Amino acid sequence: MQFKILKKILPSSYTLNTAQKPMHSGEIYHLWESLTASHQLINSLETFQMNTDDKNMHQLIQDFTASIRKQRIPKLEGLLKDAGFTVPPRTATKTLQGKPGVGTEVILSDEEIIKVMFNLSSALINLDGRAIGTVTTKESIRDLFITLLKQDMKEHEAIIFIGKSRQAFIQLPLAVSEPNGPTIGDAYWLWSEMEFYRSSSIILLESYISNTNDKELKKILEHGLYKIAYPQLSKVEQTLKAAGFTVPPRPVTRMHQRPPGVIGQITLSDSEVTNVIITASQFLLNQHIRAYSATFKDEYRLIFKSFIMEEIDNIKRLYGLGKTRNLMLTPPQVTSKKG
Amino acid sequence: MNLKILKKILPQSYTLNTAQKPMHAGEIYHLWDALTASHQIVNVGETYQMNTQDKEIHLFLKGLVEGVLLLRIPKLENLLKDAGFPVPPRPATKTLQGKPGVGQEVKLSDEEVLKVMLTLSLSLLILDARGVGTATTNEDIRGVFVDLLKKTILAHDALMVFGSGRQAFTPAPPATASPGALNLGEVYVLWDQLGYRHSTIVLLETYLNNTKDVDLKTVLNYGLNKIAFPQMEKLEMTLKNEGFTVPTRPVSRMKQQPAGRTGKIILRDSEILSIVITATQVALDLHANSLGSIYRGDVRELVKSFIFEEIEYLTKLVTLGNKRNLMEIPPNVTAKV
Repeated sequence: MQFKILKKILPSSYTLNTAQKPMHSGEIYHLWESLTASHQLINSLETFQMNTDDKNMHQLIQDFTASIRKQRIPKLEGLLKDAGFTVPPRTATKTLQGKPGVGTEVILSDEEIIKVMFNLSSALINLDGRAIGTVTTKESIRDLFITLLKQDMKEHEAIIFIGKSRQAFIQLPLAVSEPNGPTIGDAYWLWSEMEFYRSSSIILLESYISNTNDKELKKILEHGLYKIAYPQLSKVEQTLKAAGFTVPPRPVTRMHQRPPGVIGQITLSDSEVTNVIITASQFLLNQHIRAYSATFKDEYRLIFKSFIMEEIDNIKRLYGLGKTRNLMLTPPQVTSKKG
Repeated sequence: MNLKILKKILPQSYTLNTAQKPMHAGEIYHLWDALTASHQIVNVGETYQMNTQDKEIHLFLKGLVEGVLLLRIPKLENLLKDAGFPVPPRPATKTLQGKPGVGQEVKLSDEEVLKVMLTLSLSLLILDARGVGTATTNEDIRGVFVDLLKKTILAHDALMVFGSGRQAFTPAPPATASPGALNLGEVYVLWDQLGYRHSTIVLLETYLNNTKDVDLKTVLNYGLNKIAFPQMEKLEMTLKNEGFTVPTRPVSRMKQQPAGRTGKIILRDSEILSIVITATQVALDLHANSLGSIYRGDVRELVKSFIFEEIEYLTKLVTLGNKRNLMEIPPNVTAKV
């Protein structure tokens, strides 16, 4: 008992009592993936820190590695160890091999370092996003990944800030002749988000709302349609129009065509509907994260960031219902036991 | 023994003897994810088959659904069952609820059906590519995912051609005024991959200067000279042919000094290999995702070739990592709760 209390008090012994409730394979995999990626990131970042003499770069890199060391690694290790898995050894710090700036024989420019760091932090954000979409066993595990995602977003924005001030990034040409307009990349992501809502989300949600008599499922699907899909669609349409793009007409609406309960005459079970919508939400979260991590313009990044948070909230609602009603097909629970 | 032979002969009993060699958590998870996503594709595909009266779409959806039922689901189910995991129940077919075309009351247009199917097949393609990147325990398991990925790419290609023929899709506007120009999305994904290749070159060149291990150097050299540089050149050529000025290449830092260190800061060989494997998995994910935005045939072919080059490279990296115990593989797991 005392040991348990001690574990809760000590900062490096983060636990969510996963030994009592085994996690599923996806959760174990993403915890491991996130942990090993954190080690790899520290290795690369510390090598870069030793490679530059610039104090601002040192500060940026030190902040990033400190947050990974303090916020990510102990928590991820604690959860895996609690579940009975052996964690990989922590790598030795590179900063003891000399003073920062010592490793300048094979020179990397600071701009190259910033570009590589940008790609690395994008990859980490993508991993966190996938993990959030995967966790089903315990909400607290998902909350951990959400905290990590938010932390990584801060670091990503700091990299963009310093990179932009030094013109380190080579951005795509502008998509319109307006000097403050979107680049080709920004315009593509706005268009891609718009098309995804029009061509999939709204069609699927409207069909499935007509397909179920279950009030709670309908409520969640309607939340997805009216509080997420339509408002986000309007937001990207307005942004594209403001940038001078003509947006194609919206698809027809098929709500209130008939009494609810059937899609045509072909019925899908509520569990089938829930699972398709969950997969679509995971895919959409992945899209938003890719859009967020690709854009250099603050205005668009804020839009995609709000979409990410709204989608995470939607995933929480879907999983909440799926679990209470046993509507989800969760991946198999696994342990380290052999023999 | 007889049972084993029988299992090998019967088409529905695909096995890789995973009971003898446990898989890691990522492999189990991706097998499960690929399996449940397959069921979802069948559900949606069959519902849409009942929703349209167009014979071409019937045939198309039927082919797609049967492909998933025959070629994906039994393989994935058997690998999971062999490893001791229960698989989810197969959903009942929707085609027994009436004749194709019967579900016409809440109408979806045929174009909408094609759009949704295109999105779903892209999400399956991305899942398969992630499965390929994750499977490190057993080459045969990676082989299963590669096989599934090839088939999903074929299905995605077919949907692309079919839907484009009916003008069902709304690609992003053209990026330039010239006829047949790339659209904004195509230019973006080419540019994005070019930027990624620049980072690959910077990292690989740094790591090549950091190791004395002949085998590791061979693999890193392969990545640099057979993957990163040729892909960068192809991406540059495609963008230049479309009238875009491409960014300057990173400076070369090869042969600056005797091999064996990066500056004075040393990375272990296992640290290098882990980073390069993760970077290759990310590149594979990047290529697979980009197929969703590419409509023009020549650019699709280019990116597809990148996907298979990346898989070949991953195989080389994982083989070296397994042989020399240089990798940090996710934990092996069992169903024994």
